[in-house]
Amino acid sequence: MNAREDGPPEAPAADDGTRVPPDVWDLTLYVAGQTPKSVVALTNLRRICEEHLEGRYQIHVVDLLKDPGLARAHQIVAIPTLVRGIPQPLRKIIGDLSATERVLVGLDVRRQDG
Amino acid sequence: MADRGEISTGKERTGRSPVSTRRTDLQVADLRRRLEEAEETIRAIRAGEVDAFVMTTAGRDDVFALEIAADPYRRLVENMQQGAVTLGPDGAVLFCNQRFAEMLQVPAMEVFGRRLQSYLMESDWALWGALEREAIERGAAHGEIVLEPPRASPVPVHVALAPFGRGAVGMSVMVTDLSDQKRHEAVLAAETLSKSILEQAADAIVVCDAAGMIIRTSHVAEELCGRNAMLLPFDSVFPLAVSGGGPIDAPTQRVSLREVLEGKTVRGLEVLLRREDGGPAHLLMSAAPLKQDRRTVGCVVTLTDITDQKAAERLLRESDRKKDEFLAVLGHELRNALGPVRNANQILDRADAGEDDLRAARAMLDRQVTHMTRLIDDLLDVSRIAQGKILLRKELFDIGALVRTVAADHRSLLEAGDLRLELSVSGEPIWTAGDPVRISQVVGNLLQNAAKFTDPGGRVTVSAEPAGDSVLVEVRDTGIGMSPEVAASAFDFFSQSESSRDRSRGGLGLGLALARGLVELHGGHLRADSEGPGLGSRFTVRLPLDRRVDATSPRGHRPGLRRAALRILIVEDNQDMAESLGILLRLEGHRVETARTGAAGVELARKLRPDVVLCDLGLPGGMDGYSVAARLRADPITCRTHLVALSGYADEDARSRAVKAGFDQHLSKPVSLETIDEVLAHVVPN
Repeated sequence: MNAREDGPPEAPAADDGTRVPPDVWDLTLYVAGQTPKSVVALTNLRRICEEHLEGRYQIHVVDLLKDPGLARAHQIVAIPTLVRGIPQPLRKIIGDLSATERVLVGLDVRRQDG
Repeated sequence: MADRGEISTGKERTGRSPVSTRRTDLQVADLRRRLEEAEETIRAIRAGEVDAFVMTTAGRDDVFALEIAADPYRRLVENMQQGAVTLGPDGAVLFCNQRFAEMLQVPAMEVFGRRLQSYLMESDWALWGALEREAIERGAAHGEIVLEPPRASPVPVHVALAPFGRGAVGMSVMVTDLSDQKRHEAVLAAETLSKSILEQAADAIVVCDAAGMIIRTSHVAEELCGRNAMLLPFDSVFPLAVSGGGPIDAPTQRVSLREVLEGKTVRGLEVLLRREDGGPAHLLMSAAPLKQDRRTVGCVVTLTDITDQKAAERLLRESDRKKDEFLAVLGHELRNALGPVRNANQILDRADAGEDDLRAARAMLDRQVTHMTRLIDDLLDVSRIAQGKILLRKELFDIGALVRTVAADHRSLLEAGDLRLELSVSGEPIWTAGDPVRISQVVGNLLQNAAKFTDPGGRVTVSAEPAGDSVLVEVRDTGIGMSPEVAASAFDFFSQSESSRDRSRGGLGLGLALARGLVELHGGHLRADSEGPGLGSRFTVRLPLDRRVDATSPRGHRPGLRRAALRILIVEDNQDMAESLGILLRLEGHRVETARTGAAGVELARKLRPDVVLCDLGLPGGMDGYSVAARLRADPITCRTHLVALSGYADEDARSRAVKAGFDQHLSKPVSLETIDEVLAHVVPN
């Protein structure tokens, strides 16, 4: 998947065509209690953020066991699922986030790394 | 709304206008995104990265989690009392059980993925690093560190680390909460503290349970009861009675802990403790119930031993009583002396008194005045010794000769009491250094004491002999003797007042106290012995044979009295004193004038240019004796006049102050004519 080409026209764009990096990445991880994959996903997410987005992210953990209705907002089907709310556009990554490289590409983080 | 409509219809079309083309692009992108999402979901499921699903049935969302094979272990770990944590190679928490999250008082989800170090006290980071290295090197490590929960107080924990995996090493950590144990240690420390308080406290401290059984005692408390009192009833270990309330064993006076255990507080109650050995101990008792949740669980009793203070108090009261008795005796003695004085005075006034009567009256006056003077001199000497204000004028003298002289002086006194005087002094001189006037006073006092306490027909023996580097002077009598108690207190001031039997013998009882004080001033020792009442007494003076005083300058060399007529000015506000002294001096052949104030004295002195001014120190009218002396010294007419101060004060301070003011000499009242004669003999007339 090529994040550059798929960038939506609404996203703020600089003259050279690359997006201005957002101040804070807003990430939501949907989990189901403490299922092993949920735990692993959260652990991986924290590690990746700390390594690549240090000081520029916030993570919301939504436990669908407690409130299944919250799945609707982002049409969650499989758990765990990570949703990137900011920067736009919305992105979803399904699974325990153990393949770091794929997560970085999926979140479009590589661009910021240059 | 219109836009949306356009979008929905635009799905089917190919873009012709720029706007509709854009819409179409968006729709394509959205579709592609959905497709990718679906592919991603399938990929994740096939890769086993998903273990729960959201299912929508009948419009309601439910979450279904997949059961997994490791579930029993999971439950085991979740239910452990210890915290269990697994860390990735970077130190981040891969997993933790519920118990560990509870220790940190945060949801478990908050912990996952965070570095464990972020929950440790910063001061423990180095220790934690060392534990990790040790675990990797040796396969295991453990130690004590402190967790720092983000929103709660620190938790001391024991951690056991074990590495797992090859290459990049992860770590499993078992965490045991030590809070309770630490609290226990704190309790132990508090116990140690209270124990050392009980060890060190100067008071007896006893802690009892609700039944009045002793459960703790201070070191002093154990000493007080003389045994280990643990688990014995307080009331039987410490049989206390209210002090001053009758006999100790009277049941009504017994002190029981019952009231204290019922909630009463006792403060500073004086009690007596019957002791197995010796007399009762006098104690100050304080006691208060120990409460826990408003329930009395025991009491604390403090007992302060005030036996010594009580004894001191008693002594103080005793000496106060003796002082009162002494004052009564003093009044009595002075009155006894004044009676004959008044009578003699009346005899002298009588025109019809014969020459013999007049002579007897004069002798009587002289004796009584001598007696009173001696009483007062003794009193002053006693107070001067007590204040350390007596100065010895030491010289070398033959104490044998001194004893012979003093004995001879007292022979008539002894014989008047029908007592025989025996003298046992060797003919060889016994040279010693000291103040002969004071040593004479000592020997004289001992002889007077012997005369006083020996009945007619008895014998008084005086001896003086060298004994090694001391000289012993002994005065023995065949008198009433002393019990050991009386002998022990014979030298105390006012001690004679003690026994009413002695009252008949007169005197103030100062003589022996004075004698001992003077002997001790000489570095010597005076002791009293008696075989018992009725068996006589022996007083022994031991003086060091100190010959270090220069023998070539003995005192006592006095030039013969010279009788030259002098002009004398007496400045004295007491008219009787001025007049009587004036008469006596005129009878001696001098010319005498008197002035009653300082100012008048100064004026008269300038006019008369006297050879001698005898000046009282305490004068009325604003100018005292010191000022008079200063004025006369400052005036060229009177600056060479011989100035003699007369004062009621006999101490060295008064003397030196007078000399400083300009006086040549200082005489303390009463002044005998002999003394004044001696002073005047040295004055050269102008």
